[in-house]
Amino acid sequence: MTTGRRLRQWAKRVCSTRTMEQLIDPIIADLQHEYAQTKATRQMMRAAIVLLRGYCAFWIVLAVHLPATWWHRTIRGLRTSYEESFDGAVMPAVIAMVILTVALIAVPAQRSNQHGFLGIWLLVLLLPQSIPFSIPLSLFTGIVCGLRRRPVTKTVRRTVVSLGLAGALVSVSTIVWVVPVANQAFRTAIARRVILEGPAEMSSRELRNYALALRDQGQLAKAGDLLFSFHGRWALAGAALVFSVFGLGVTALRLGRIATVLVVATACVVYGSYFEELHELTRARLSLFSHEGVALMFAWFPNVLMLLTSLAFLTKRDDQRSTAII
Amino acid sequence: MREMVTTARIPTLSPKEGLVLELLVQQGEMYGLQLVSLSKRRLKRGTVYVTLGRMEEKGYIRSRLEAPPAKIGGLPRRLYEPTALGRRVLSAWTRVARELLPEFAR
Repeated sequence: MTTGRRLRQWAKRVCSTRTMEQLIDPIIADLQHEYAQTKATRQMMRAAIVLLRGYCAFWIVLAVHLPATWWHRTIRGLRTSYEESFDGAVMPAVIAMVILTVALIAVPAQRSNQHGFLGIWLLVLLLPQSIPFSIPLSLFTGIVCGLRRRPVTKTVRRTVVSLGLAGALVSVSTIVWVVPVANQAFRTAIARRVILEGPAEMSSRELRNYALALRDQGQLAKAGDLLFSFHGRWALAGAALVFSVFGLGVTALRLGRIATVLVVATACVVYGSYFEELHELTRARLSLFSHEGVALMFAWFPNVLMLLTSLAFLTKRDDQRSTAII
Repeated sequence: MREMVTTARIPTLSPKEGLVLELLVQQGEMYGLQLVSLSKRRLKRGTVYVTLGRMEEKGYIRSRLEAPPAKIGGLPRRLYEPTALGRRVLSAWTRVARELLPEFAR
């Protein structure tokens, strides 16, 4: 078998044709030539070193330079083509949304606090709770404002989806590892004594196991409530990607300034209040959610609806463009 | 109203790109590993192709595949040579560096 053939086959699955031509194929070609030449001189030790150095070069390219190339071609390309307005819109939106969501969470906490004004440390503990809300909303606002009335090119789509995926990853890590710990620390600090973990302080696995145990004991309403919370957490984690794609869809519509602001505000308010309102509406029938399929469906409903709407917006715009060309 | 300003992009040359261009101008057509060995460890195997790819996108160099090797088998190597733009950019950068940085000329 030719040296590096398997590496090349593997790289072909993850790299673009251009990357293969410019980076991977030259490295493997060099490796094959140098190895064959050294082997022909019967210097087996040296040939092994050549092979090792070639493999190292291959993995360095994949591990270090592919992200750099991706950054160069997508984010920097986007910044260049849009005169950095994308950054200019995303960053203020992220900061504004983080402040807003922290405020929305901190105000009720402050009202219920009997021991005076919340300190900086307690506000810091509230920050993780705000992240899963602020990431999708700020990405959405930033994307829509930054790309307003501009064409949704392939680079833009790729960048926005990458941003959404990165946001979803941050949300998942925050929800799974940070929020339960921060919530418990917040409650302990407020109560000034050690208290037992509530459902919001449980990890996702603990929450689901607890809900299933309650369901087995026949406490269907409470089990339904907790199962809905469990699936709601994951839906919220996926919201970053959904909102990013929705932002693309809204951009593709090329709305005016007022219409854009209205769409952004409506989407944020509707999504933000969905879980609360649904909880209120179904208060008498929470046992419905004890069926895992129902809980999953209701928790993911806004995400699926937004995703379908975005695809419809994007397709509609593509149709209009092709009609115009004809 | 925001004024639309179109500016021509000024060609830039990083130190590594400059080194690659210098070697290619001096030695002529070469493949990646030759550049690495001639650079006296200033270019690395893992980074040279990224630099070459970026320079090709900028139009400073062009590449072609050599004829597939008959005896060894495997992939053909990629050979690089400077373009006219690359030569001009290198000479301009060298001149600017000489004028702005006196120590560069010593």
